[in-house]
Amino acid sequence: MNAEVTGLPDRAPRANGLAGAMRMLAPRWPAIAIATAAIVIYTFASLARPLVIQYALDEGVGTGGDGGSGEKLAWAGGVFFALLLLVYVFQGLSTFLVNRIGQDFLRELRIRLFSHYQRMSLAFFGRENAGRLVARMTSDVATVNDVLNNGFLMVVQSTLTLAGATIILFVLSWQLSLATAIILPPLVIATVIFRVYSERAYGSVRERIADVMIHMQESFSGLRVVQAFAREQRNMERFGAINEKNFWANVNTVRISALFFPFVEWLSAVGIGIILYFGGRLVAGDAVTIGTVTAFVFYLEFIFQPIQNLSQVFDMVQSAGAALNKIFGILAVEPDVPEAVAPVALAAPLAGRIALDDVTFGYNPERPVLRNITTTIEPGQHIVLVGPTGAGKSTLAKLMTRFYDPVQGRVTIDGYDLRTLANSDLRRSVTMVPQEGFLFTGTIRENILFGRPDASPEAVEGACRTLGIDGFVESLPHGYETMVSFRGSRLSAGEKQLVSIARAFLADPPVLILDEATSSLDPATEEQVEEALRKLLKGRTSVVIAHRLSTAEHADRVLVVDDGAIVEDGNHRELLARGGYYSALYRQWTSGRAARSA
Amino acid sequence: MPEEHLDLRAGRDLILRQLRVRWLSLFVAFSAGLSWGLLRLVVPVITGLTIDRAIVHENHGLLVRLVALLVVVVAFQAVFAGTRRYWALRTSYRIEADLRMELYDRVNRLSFDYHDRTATGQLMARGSVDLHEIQGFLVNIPINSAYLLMATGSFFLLLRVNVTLAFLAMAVYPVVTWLSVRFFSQLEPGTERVQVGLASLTSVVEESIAGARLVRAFGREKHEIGRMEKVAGDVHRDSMEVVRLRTVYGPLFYFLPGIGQLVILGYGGWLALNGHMTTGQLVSSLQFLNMLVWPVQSLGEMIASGQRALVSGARVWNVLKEEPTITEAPHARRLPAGGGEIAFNNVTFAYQENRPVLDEFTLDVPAGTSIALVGATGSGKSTVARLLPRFYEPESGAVKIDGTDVRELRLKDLRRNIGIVFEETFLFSDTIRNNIAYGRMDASDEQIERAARLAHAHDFIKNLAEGYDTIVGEQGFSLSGGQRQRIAIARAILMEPRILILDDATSSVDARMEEEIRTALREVMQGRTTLIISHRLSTISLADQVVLVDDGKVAAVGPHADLIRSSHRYREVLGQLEAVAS
Repeated sequence: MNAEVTGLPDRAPRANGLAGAMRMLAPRWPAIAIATAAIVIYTFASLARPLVIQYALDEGVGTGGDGGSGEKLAWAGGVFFALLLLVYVFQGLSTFLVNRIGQDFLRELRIRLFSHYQRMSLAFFGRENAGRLVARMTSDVATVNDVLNNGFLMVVQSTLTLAGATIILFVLSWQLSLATAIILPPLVIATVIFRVYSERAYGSVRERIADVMIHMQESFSGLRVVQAFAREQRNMERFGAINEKNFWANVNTVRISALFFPFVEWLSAVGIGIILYFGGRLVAGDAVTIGTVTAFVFYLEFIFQPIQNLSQVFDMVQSAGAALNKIFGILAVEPDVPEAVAPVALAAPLAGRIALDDVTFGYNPERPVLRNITTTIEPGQHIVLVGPTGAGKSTLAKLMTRFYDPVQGRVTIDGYDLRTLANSDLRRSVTMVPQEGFLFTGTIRENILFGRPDASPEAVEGACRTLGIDGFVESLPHGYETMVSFRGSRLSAGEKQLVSIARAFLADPPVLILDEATSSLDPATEEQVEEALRKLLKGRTSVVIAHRLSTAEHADRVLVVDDGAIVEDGNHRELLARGGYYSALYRQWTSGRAARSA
Repeated sequence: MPEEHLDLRAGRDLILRQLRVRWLSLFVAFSAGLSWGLLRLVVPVITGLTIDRAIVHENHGLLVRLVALLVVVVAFQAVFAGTRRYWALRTSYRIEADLRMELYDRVNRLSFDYHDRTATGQLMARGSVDLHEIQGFLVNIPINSAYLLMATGSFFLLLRVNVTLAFLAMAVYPVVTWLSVRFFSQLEPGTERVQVGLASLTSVVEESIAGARLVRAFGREKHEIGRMEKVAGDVHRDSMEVVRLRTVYGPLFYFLPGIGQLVILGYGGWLALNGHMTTGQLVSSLQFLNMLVWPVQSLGEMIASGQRALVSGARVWNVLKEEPTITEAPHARRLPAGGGEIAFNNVTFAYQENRPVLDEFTLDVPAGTSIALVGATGSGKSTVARLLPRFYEPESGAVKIDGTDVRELRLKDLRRNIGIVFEETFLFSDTIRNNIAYGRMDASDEQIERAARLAHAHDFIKNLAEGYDTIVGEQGFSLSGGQRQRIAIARAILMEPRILILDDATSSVDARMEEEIRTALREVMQGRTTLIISHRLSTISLADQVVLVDDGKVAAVGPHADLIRSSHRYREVLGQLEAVAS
């Protein structure tokens, strides 16, 4: 669902979106200039057509009083055709150019925004609502798109038409112009009132339709619950009410438009009446010609249309301005874990000695989650982090992968501060395997290749063979080419984890950080997952965030994290002998196990 | 998802059926539209008359009368325009709402087997995009009929002036209509491609955010940006394809009617010069053509939109024509009094033909006792539970509750007497109170609270800022898996069901949470017949008896302690569960 529906406060800083957009558009000035020129040319060419009709009538047919002339009529025809051609060519040119500029701009904006997301740390994604970030790139960009495609063209064209037509009319006959001007106040007032009311009415339609969609979505996806609780009848009644509300909200917009548009239509005919009446009297007084009266009738449209267009564009520009402000607001957020500007050049692959030196960290700097942690992990060591939920185990692991930077102190690998390394070097050396096996949309093979995109097909299959999961992959409908997606994949949690392990194995980093799965897996895959993990960890420095004590039994070292500090450090046997937190936890677990299996 | 079969004729029939239902308002819209179209033709005629009779001859009295007539005629025209717009839009929205209701009702009643093979997103599209397409087509019928009338009327009025002029000037219109049909039907696949492109752009963004940790972990930011460049490039390319179409066709729709005006101006002017036509006729002919610029395009648009509406109608029909596979018997009974004794007698069941999941499955569960169904994946243990509330129907054999075959019972009665806690807790975007009361909307606050207490949910609910009024679900406050699960348990027991089914209810919570839920479960199981399906040893141990399901049959029955000693297969299945720590 669109995040805007949730009504959560928007945290992104505000920024001047218009200025940002201008900066992006500035390099395209030649195209913009040509497009503007094209709009001007075709607008003027359209404006000139009633003048040609006037000339054809007065000078050609002879309503001007000096008698007709076939030659002048032919001239008028020729000019009319030339004007048609001008409009044809330049309308096409401006349509193309304006849209081209708009589409180029949108592509650049999307890529810029997305690249910006990529430079952001995980803290950013924790802070920002995911739906909102998606909305920035989709619905907000679409709003800007509307203005770029129609708005710009409409503003320039409507303003020029309105100004041009007014000048022409006054030059043709100021008396008749003043008479015609009577209908403008009611037109403008009605248009403004209509905009206000219809904006309100459409606002309520948007809310009502959102209600309909939310209810449908929930009923359909929760249908098993609906039927299990025999709620069909009740839901029908509820949905019926929501559906009717939406219908009436729609009818409300219809009421407004069914009053406004006919009124404008009537007003324009009244305008013709006024022109004919005063025009007729002026013709009688020889102040104007029949051609002029006819031209006025045709120019009426050139007054009515632009006024309505401009009022429509006004709303469009407003919402696009708001969307641009939100977009550039996100772009203004500085990355909080920036890549080193001049990264250290590594001479050789890292061995994987990780050291934390007096590290303090908090998501909110005033409330540290970890305090003054100092410890060193030797290459090849298997470390297991144990401790209650919220003690800081995961945070500790995330600092080692530089998902966050410490507030104080430093994290080093082979003596290099993580902040001095190039991202690519760092990622090649330290890899994290999250507890949920995340799959990207694509084939199984592509998902495994994610760890090392340049690996050969043989390497992918080799990795699966080594891990003992080739049988599982080959049992899928299309083997390695089976399509999966991050939403509705048919793989079980355990199977997803197998893919995720293969991905890490292929990447082959010296240091692995592993978040153990909390929920139990299907017994059939659980064994496979454990087997694959054992092979993955072999020969690497590893840090495992444990949720099961059995994991700790075989570790080289167990770090017990409690309340933001490492409270115990040693292997399983040493910690048991010490009789602290760990041994208490272990005793509790073993007694529970014994009781259950008795 | 296999390619959907679309029966366009059925789509047409569906639309016609709805039009017949709403024939009266449609008739009003239609007649108002046609009257409007006729009166619109009057304005140019009066303009011409005014020029010829009143202005050229300087007849002041006639001038006043003609102008007054014009204002009155257009007043009527405006009333008809308003009536047409109101009833055309209202009727189209009415039909959209009617169809949506019918669709919702149908989807609501279709059985599990239908929903197993149909994606929610697809049903949502039927209820939004497709209905909108139909509405968009219907709304334009009256106005386009009026346009057609205006074009024909203009042609006949021109004919009266001069036959050659009429044919010459109107010659462009069939061309414009043909071009606009072509344009809109070419536009369709183009805009569709843009939509598809935008959808995949959205999923790239969603994925990169949901998978941000992995992207960072493997340092694949550049790769992700590359993916975005690709999809943004695709959208750009497809959008430009649409722009090219607009560039080619758009200006033509002004140019060609302009040629019609040129014909009138040139040939008509020449006729007027030679006295074969009056100035007023010339001006009104020019006005006719000016009036038709938009209508001819609109006709092409409507034809294209009609084709889309037929496809959408066919898609909607594909849902509406489905029949629920589980229906209530004609003389269904209420559930007789009893303690909740369950019997499966030689039940055979298959989701797919020839692949039986349960094979002559027989099991008796005495009233008030609890059993745990244990088995490997695909053994059929979950299916056993799904047959009880008649989510599916066995191929042969019978499922009985307190001695009555479930097929003879009223569906509502049957399901209200069975409380289910599903593996994936689904909460609705509503208050916690309403979520708990989901199956029993008339429950009092005390009853709701009691259910919450029993499910060990009351304490954490009380600690939320809004308490029982906290909005949860997709749109609301996010609860932990354990909290959601306990609300689901409260929801199930508020109905005071005779039978309780716990379908993997503890699988998605961690071990500590499970301990709390288990305590809650132990209490709510008191006095109810309970079926437990679980991988977890600790949850299984809640049951009086364990039923080992293997290959669609009962392989062994007995208390856990006995089975672990006597059954090798049981030990095998349980073999993996040991490692779960506290």
